[in-house]
Amino acid sequence: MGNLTSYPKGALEWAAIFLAVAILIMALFGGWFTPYDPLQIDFRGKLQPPSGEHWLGTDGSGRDVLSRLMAGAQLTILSTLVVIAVVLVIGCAIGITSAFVGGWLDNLLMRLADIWLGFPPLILALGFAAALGSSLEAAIWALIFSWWPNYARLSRMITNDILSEPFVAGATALGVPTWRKVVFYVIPNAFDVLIIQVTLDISAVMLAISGLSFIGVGAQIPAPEWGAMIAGGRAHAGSAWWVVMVPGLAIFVTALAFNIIGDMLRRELDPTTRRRA
Amino acid sequence: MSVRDDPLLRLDRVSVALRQGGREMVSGVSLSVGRRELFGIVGESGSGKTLFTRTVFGLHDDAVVSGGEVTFDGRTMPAKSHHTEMKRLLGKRIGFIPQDPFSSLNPSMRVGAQITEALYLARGLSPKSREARDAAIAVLAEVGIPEPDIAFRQFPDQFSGGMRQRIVIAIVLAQEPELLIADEPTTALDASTQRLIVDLIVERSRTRGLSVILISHNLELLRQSMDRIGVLYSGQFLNLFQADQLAHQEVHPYTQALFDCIPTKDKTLADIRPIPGEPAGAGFGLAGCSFADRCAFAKDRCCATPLPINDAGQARFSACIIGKGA
Repeated sequence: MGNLTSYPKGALEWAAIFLAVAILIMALFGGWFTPYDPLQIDFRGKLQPPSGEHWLGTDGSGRDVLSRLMAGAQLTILSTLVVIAVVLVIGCAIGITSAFVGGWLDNLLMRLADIWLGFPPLILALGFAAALGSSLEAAIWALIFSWWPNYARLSRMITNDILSEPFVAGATALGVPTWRKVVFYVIPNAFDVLIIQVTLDISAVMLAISGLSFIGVGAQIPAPEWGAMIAGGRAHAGSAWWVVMVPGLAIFVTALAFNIIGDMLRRELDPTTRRRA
Repeated sequence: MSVRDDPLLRLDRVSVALRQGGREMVSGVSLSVGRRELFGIVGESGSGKTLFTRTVFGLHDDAVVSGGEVTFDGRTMPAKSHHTEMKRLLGKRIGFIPQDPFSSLNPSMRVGAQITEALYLARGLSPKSREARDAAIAVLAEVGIPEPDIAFRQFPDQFSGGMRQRIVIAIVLAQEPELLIADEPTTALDASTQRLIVDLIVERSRTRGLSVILISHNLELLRQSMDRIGVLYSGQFLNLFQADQLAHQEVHPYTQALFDCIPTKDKTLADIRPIPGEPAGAGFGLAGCSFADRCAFAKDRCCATPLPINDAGQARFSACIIGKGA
């Protein structure tokens, strides 16, 4: 990962990086700087087109769309990051344990992951969300439950690759204990592959969260979650395009930006080209 | 340090078998490595030399010591906990230099950190301490790394193959082992670098008074730098001889055949005689001599008579039943 900064990036990559950073900043701080209260209903001013007063117009209940977009970034993006962070930790813990211990435990955990992967994540999440009740928290739990096998399998595979490297045998010969192997040999060398997967998964998880909210099992309608905003604007999609297009575009642009960054990282850190530079 | 005559390492009829299926890959190896002795193990690819050494020293997870006794510094390893006992010696009293310097260093750890980690594991020096840092730079200088204080902060991919192997040697030397095992330390390097690395291992071991086991398929390289050489073929221990007395002693027909195919400056092309036939792999469990079908001296009984074993642990040994090289 030493040559991360030296890689030549095109305009597309720079645009993606700029957008991703802007979106992350908006997710962290945007909720404090909204021009209006994102939940303030104003029936007299409903479905106003974009104007100087309401830059991105108002929705069917007269709520300011820009304010809702900014506040919603926090809900959508931060819940995505929470899901990713939790599945990364849980998945890697399971995968690395599986690779180190091997034997029946390895078989048990990986077959479990295989069975889990057999269910499409959105369907599984739908089931979980239905069982836990419809809320954003339920959607987050549901995605954590359905996403961990990806990271368990990936981290087990990388760990097995690393464990077969001669430098791990060398470490054994130096008397390096298992916990040091995990911390200093496996995790730093698995980092490249994991960071690519994380970047690519950000858009996938975000789409899943928005999707669950859109079909009504995630965030509930007054909440400015982007998927829920689209769901709430469906009735007016023909007459007031901005109500659905704005959050839709936000989801699209965010997903695209993280995908471009993920692809860039993959090209740069590909395991087949990175070892013997 | 007083000079002691008892061997540092003694192997008595040691056999190695695969964990799954229990197929015996190498059988009946008896030899001893003295203190300060440089011992070479030679064998073709697939002869079992790497498998054997790695298994004996607890570095192979797929094979086990299936018979015989391993004694290190007067202490015989219990058969049941051989692996665990060996692991306790690794990194403290036994050092191991792997084959390929390109993949035997952790790519995401600075050279200095890898040495201070080794120092911490072997001698308990705190990895961040001034003392560990000084010791690491000293050992880098000892193996001939130019500007060791700069190398201390660099990553392995900033070095050439030869330099990386020097770093590997530095890491192992930092632990101050009594026995150094080098598993084909030069196969991945070019010919001139090979010489330098082997010379470095020999010179450092002589200076520090270490015993060395160097595994190679290069008989000439071993002859020039080792004290004694053991020959493995197809999982059988065929020959054991003094490297410097070659001119005055007869060797096993296989060892002789190996020497006959080495080009030297007073040989013409016609003098180089390849060994007929294909090398036999290890693990066929032959009763007789596995070299018999390629041997110029072979008699009918060679294939049937059980192979002699160096029972008495003699310093010289030939497994040839028709008396060649005994």
